[in-house]
Amino acid sequence: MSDNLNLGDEPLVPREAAPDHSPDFWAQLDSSMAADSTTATPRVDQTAQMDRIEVGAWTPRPTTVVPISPARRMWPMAAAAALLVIVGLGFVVTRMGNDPSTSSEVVSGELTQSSGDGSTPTVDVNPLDGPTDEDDTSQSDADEVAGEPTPTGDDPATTAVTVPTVEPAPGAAGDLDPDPVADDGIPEATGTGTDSTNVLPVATPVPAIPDFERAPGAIGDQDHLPLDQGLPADATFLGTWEQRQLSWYGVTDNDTTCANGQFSEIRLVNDSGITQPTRDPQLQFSGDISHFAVRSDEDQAAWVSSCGTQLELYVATLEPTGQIADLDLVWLGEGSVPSALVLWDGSEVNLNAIEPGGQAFSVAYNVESKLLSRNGGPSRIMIEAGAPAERSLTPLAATPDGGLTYWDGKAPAGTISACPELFGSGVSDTLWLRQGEGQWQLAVADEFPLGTVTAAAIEPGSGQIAFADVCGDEPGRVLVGSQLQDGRIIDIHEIDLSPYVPGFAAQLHWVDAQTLRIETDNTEFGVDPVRYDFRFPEGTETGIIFQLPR
Amino acid sequence: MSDDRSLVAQASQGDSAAFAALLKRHDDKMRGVVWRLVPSRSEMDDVLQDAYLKAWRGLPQFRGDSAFSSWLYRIVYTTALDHLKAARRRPVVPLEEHTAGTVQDASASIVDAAALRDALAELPPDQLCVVALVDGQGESYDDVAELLGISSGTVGSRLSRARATLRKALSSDQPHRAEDHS
Repeated sequence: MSDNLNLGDEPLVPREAAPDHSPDFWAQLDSSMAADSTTATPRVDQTAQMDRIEVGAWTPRPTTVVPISPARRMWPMAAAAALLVIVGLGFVVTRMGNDPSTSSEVVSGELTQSSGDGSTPTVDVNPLDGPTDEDDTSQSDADEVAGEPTPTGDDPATTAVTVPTVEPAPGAAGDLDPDPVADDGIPEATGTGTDSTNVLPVATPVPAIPDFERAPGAIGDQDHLPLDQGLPADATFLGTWEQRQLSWYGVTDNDTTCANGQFSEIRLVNDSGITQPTRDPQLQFSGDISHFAVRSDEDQAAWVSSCGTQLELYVATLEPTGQIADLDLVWLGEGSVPSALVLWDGSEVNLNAIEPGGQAFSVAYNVESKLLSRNGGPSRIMIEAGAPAERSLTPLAATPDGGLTYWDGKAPAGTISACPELFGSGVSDTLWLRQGEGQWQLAVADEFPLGTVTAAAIEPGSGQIAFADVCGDEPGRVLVGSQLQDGRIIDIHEIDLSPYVPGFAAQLHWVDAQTLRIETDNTEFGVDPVRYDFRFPEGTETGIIFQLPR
Repeated sequence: MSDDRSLVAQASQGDSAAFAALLKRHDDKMRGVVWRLVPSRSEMDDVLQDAYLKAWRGLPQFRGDSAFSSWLYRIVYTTALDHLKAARRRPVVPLEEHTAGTVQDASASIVDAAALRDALAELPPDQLCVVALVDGQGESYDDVAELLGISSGTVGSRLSRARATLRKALSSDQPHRAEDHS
């Protein structure tokens, strides 16, 4: 990436609603389907599937942490060279029966690739293929009905209920950490690299990277999943009441719109895994339920119901069962849902968000005095100075107390972008820091060009923060810096993952202070997500990277 | 409250009404994508008729690992691309050509619309969907994330990549278009 001034990242595709179908569209389709049914009746077949695109395990060389330089590395050349090795050695490794699903590989030396199943590799994936990859069109024979896209694990519709998130328990990370270095005495890489490849077995699968430890009020990971069929697949996890061992989920009726008063409802999963309504008869809301924050010591909860930019803040008193005893709509108005944050502060619940016009605001409601203030009631002034004007903000990471939150958002006009293609054309994204009292500022203390920030993770013990960014058609970067007391980031270094990451880092997670787990999103290159652990040996800036099994 | 899974289950047993209900649930987004690739409503309908029929035939191959909408989108996208390839072999001038944006110069708008369609057709499917729905239809990041089974952050990064690719493609088209008009 290079430093360029950008002046506006505007959509090139004009807003234009698609027209309705012709009047006989559905009738025509119905008759076609009826005719088709006479020859073939669809049925559920769990075994009939197209082959998925498989890519073998990557076994990269040791890599180093190096100070960032304005110019991007010459990774394409390195990738091209590595690709030659991949193609050649991948077949050899395949023939040797290496199974990445049961092994973790510590690598020093050259890049190798092996197939996932021990058979002939199903596809050679060229990490150099750009976004206009011919593969996308060459695979476009729709007569072979498309295979299912590989889930990326982020979709609540596919994971909210059926795929429990595996979070390593505190202290258990070592058990799951595939780091074979300490166990086996293999010297940690110094960056000099040898040509040896060590294949070490791992008894347990590596868990998926959990989301960052979010601030109270942000949407988290589901803890208590239903054992019954009480939740649809697209139910949204809202929150957990740890003391009562229950979780709440939001359910929406997709046959209606959020303007409908029966659009959504909240269901709870009790400690026996049984799904229940939160009140009998069930309470229903217009709008999506989100930002569910529990004040567990007082059996109270607050949440946001949103329809477009219309926000409603509810406060409820809870029964010990998790059901709603009393409910108050304490505020309604306009704001951006992605930028909203709901926090309890004693008896006061705060909703922070950004108005459609770009102005940040705070609403504070005291459940004891029943007083509501907005942007500077008598007791609290929370004008969010310096907040980004663009409402499209993505929360990335937060300190455990929610005091510091990091967001991806549009950079101010004139910001130096890391993306060459934005030269003279736009304001790129950047990493924003929101401090507890609603003060916004650029997260990076010194002028440091960034692209779209895709992930961030804080290591609270050491004060390190890792974050990742990406520019248009370049591979993503992973950067590590140190937090100042106020949350700003200094001493930024890049972890050089080239040429092993054609896409970008979608998730980051600190396993411990010396180990950063990186999950890459390579979907646009037809490559499944690949996970790495990057280890920082103490007292040196060199690191070593481990390919983790899928 | 019904959801896609129950409708998919019914449709998999041959219930065409359930399948039609599924399609109607996602039809607006599918139209939003195809409309960006073809020049007329009749072609949009042709593509979607074809795609929906293929989805009906291919339903046994849908395992349910991903969202139904993501699976359907892939079929729609590939069908649209096949349609485009075929259309390029037999160029026609549709009667109801639509133009992109509000451009004063009608000839320029037609060129721009055609160039934009070409550039869009070159995008990888996931980028096309994101840019067509977010920029073209005004859908939220969250809605598109749900459709594609990805996170909102990924939607943002794909949008960034798509815009960059489009910008590059359209700027490289500029001299040719100027020559065409000279």
